[in-house]
Amino acid sequence: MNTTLLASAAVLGFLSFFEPCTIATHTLFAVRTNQENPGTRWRSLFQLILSRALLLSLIFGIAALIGLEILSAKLAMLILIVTGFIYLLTRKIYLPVPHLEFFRLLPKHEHLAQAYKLGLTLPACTLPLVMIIGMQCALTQRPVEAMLAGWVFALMFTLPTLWDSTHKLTALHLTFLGHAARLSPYITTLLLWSSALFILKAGI
Amino acid sequence: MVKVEVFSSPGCGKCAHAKNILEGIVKEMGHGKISWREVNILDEMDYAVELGVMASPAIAINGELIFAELPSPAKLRTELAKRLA
Repeated sequence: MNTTLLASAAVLGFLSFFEPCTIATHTLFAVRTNQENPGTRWRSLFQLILSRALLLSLIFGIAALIGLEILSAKLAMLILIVTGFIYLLTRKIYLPVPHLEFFRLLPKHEHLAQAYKLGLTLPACTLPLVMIIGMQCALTQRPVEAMLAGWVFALMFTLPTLWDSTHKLTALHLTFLGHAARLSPYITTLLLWSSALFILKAGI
Repeated sequence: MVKVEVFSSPGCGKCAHAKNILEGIVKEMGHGKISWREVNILDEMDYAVELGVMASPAIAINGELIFAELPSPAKLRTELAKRLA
């Protein structure tokens, strides 16, 4: 079992929730879901987790099937450093990167529940994080582990929404989310650059 | 006077872009015709939910959600011109 892959999927998945382009959308969904009766609420949460996990496990599984024979330490570091810069750049410049709305590929997608639409969308600011895990999956060339990483990423991405849907959100909690959204691109950059430093010291 | 509200979230680049577009259009159409404010979704969550906001940025005009996602400048300009006519 590739623990580095699963740990990375867990950390980057969790971080995905706090990115500025996802946090408000998910919190709005959580507040709406919280106002539903328990049956409807849990159905929506199940739909969200299931659709997101299926999408990510499919993407990571395909990445593992395509495979990547070798990725030099230098190239891996470069990817991490550049991705970190992109997160910093977005603090100053608007990059018109669209969300990847996979639900639009489905027939009659206009009538899909919001939970499915949310689960089958990869927000723009999470794409670099998904790409990093995708590359790790390609390096492992083990589709089953890659699909497991997809489930881990999806669960960790959805975990804060699950919490918010089942608890009353206080002003303090919402303030915390606001601070987290402002800080998360910097934390992401720091994390990516630290990983690059780690590769420099320990190799890929 | 047309009242515009831009629903945004902290650190959201697309929301800042929406505000820039709106500011440009307000200048273009002349001050005093359109008033606008930014609504931080996390600060005014209940209001955002009440209006049916699903994502950021979203734009409400005169207390009604008109754009559930970032509109093109042309669409926003047309909608505002319609209200001012």
